[in-house]
Amino acid sequence: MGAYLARRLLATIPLLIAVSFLTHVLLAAAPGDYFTRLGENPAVTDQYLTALRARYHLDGGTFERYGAWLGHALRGDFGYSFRFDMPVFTLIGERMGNTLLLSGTSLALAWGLALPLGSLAAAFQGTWIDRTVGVFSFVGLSIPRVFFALLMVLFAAVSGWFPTGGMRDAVLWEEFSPWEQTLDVLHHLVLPALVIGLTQMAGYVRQMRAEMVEALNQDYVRTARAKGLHGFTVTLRHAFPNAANPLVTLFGYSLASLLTGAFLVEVVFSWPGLATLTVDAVFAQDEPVVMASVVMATVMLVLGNLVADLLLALIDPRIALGGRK
Amino acid sequence: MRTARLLPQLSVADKATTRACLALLTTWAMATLTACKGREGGTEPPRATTPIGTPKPAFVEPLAKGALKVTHGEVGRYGGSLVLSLSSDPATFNPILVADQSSGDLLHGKVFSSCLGFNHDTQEMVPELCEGYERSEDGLTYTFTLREGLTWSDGAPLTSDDFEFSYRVILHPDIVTGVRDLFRQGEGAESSPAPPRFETLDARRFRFHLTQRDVLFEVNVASIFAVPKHKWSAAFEKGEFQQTMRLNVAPADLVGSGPFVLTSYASGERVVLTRNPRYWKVDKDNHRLPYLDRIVYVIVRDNNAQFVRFRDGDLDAIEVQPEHYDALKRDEAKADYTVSDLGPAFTSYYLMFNLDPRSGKDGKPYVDPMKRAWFEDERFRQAVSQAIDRQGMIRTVLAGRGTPMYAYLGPANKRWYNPEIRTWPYDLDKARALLLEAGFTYQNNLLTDPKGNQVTFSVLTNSENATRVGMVNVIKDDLARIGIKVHLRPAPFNEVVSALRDSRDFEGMVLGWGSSVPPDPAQSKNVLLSSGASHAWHPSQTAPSRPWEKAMDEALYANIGTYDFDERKKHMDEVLALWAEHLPQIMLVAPNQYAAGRRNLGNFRPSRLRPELSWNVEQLFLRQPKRR
Repeated sequence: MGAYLARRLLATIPLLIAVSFLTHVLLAAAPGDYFTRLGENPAVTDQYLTALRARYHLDGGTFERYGAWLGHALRGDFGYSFRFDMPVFTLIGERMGNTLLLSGTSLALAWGLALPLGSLAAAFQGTWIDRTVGVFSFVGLSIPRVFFALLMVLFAAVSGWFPTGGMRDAVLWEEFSPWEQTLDVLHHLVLPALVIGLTQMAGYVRQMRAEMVEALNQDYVRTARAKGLHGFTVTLRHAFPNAANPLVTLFGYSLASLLTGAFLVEVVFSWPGLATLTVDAVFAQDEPVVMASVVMATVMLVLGNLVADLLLALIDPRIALGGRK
Repeated sequence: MRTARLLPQLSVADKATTRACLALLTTWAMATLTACKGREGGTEPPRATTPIGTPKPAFVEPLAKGALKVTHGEVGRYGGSLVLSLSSDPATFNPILVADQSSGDLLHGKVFSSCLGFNHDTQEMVPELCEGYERSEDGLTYTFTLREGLTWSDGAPLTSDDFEFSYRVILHPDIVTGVRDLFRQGEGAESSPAPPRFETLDARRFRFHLTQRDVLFEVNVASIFAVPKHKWSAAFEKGEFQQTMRLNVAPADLVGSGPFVLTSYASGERVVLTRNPRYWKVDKDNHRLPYLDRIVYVIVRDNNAQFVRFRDGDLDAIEVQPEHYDALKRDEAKADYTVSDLGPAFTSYYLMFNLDPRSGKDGKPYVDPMKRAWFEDERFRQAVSQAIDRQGMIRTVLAGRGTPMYAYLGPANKRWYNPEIRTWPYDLDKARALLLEAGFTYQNNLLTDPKGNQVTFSVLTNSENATRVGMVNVIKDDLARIGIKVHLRPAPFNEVVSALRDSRDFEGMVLGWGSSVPPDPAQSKNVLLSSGASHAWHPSQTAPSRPWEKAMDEALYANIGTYDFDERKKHMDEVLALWAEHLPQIMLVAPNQYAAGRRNLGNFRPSRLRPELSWNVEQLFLRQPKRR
């Protein structure tokens, strides 16, 4: 197990290097750099721009600069944002909590609904329950997330039941008690979490249902029923664990989207997460922030996959990590 | 104060071009430098009483002895939070390092004050921390006097030492600030002899010794937003000033001198400012200012979201985009807000031809000499100007909300505008006649130069800006009518800046001008002078290449060579007349500006210059407490 983990983690190093190198090259290939736009101001002299580029080490060649970045990154130093003159991790850290709150809630919502609904639909295959769940997941799969988010903003604006954006009340926040503050954040969280949760859920429901239908038609289920076990017990104890197997892989992938999966919805709902920070950084060519964001997203993807594999090994005794001895 | 000099605006959203402001229907008796000087220093110190409402936090006694009385506007009411928006996170809380719009709006005049300020009603410089200044006869020494009894927001006295320190910080080569360039003395901004020497006379008086006259020197001094020496000198000595007052600063450490202090900042969400209880201004009845308890800046990145949040009552005031004007105006009668049409903006759009005769590093001329010969002929430029239907452009691109322009400064700049200049109203016959006179001919309705080449050129603009792209398309259609074929060349923002400054790779270009605060032509030296780096059609000339450039140089030098306004105005009129005649840039249109604010908001008088909604923030007040 330990050796397996070590091998998996070592394998991510070339991946991270490749991804970060590609990002760096693409950023460098875009016209201009972070300081080019300062040149729009006629009062900014060329000497000043040259000095700035030297100060932030933008005057070297692409490879040279990547080498310097990599050297620092390996020591855990991801540099300073050009725009904010602050360590990128301080910047990212502030936003990451908010992003994880939104995507974590959505993830819990998606899975919390998908597993029971999918199982239900399979258990009552062909009935109105099945068809209702089917319609839901069909709509959820078909509707573009951004459009759904915009619809929800419109709903919030028209009904006045929910805030149209943000994560906290702009004016009264300081005067709230901790309890009111919690409620306020939850109130702001409802719509964006619903948008992400429901659209994610749709795919998982269908998957869950399909796996469950297959499992329910297996011989061991028939055997269990023949033994006289209650239908509910059969579904839960015998069919579900077998059906859930492929879904664990999906779950791992969904972990990977924790950081970046909510991007569009964050922008639409003005959620103070990583999305706006990263998108701004891309447009402004604030390299250190973009590089750190990309690296973190890659790490999440790798970790998500790893978690999925570990979970599989845990629940399925047939799977042994690192091959059989 | 300085971030918005008369600069070509290439910003992606181009918000500045559509910003709103109030037509100043009312005029106020404004405190001028001399008037204020006379009023203060009297024997009776201003009282500090409370009108209506209770200020929370309460003011700290005593009030500065030399407190400034704000004589215009209504007497307000204490209390409440004003909610405004910022279109992005600030980049810093350090007033000296400010380079972006959000930080400037948030800090300058809110958390930090400077020696002098700018009155948006009268376009004049007015006293702030300084009660006034004296200029020597030869214009080479300026002596500033601080108000009596000024303190920082933490209670420490604010003295000449703080200005000495701040000026030293600004001049230090390791500090990344554009303010330093304002204190370069010398003809070309590039050459930099010694900056003016600072001399501390006593705790309240300091003096600058200049090496040459500078008609804008008091404006430069107004760009020094002093920081407290007692807080930051240790960091500066260690070479760490650049890392001070960043976004993670503890609010209590951000000691300022403005009407508000920082209370909290949540990244991506909002910034909260609270009353500075030691602020040094009073209203005309000697009530202490500011009236508002708090300002909450919500970070709302998108114009449409700002509009929705204003309509829903979240925001108290916004700059209205032209596309939202009708929707807001329609509901105005039954709503709790008013929308103001403020007339043409200080910003404008222009079409420029590349007249640069030089060659690039590869030996190839920047512009094909055949095409440059057309552009260089001013009859050609005049014909193009005459062939552009500016009213049509306003209708199609600006939804009917704009004003035609013919010279560098338009009617928005009441102080410097010259209404007598030559204009080029849409007239295709006259345009064709001009071209024929210049030796061009028509073959199959296509314009052909004397050597038989068909006239065609490209126009570069930044692709993110739909307004500019739309304008190039209008120009393309209009010029096709006089037989000229125009290609639209959209490019990313950075490439456009690079074409302007480095590669010089363009034939025609459509861009915009923003405005400085104050909008004084002396701020445009680098554009108007032939030696200027932003004389973008042919920059950095050692000697003016064209007779009209020589005349413009002379008129501008005369303009900045005197302090007498009438004299300066006369020379500026000449500069604008030369511009309109010879068309170094073909000015197109200025968009109109609009602003909206709650009726509940007292003393709300938006301006067309930054910060449009809150330039008089210390006297804004809520007529009724907000109910939530």
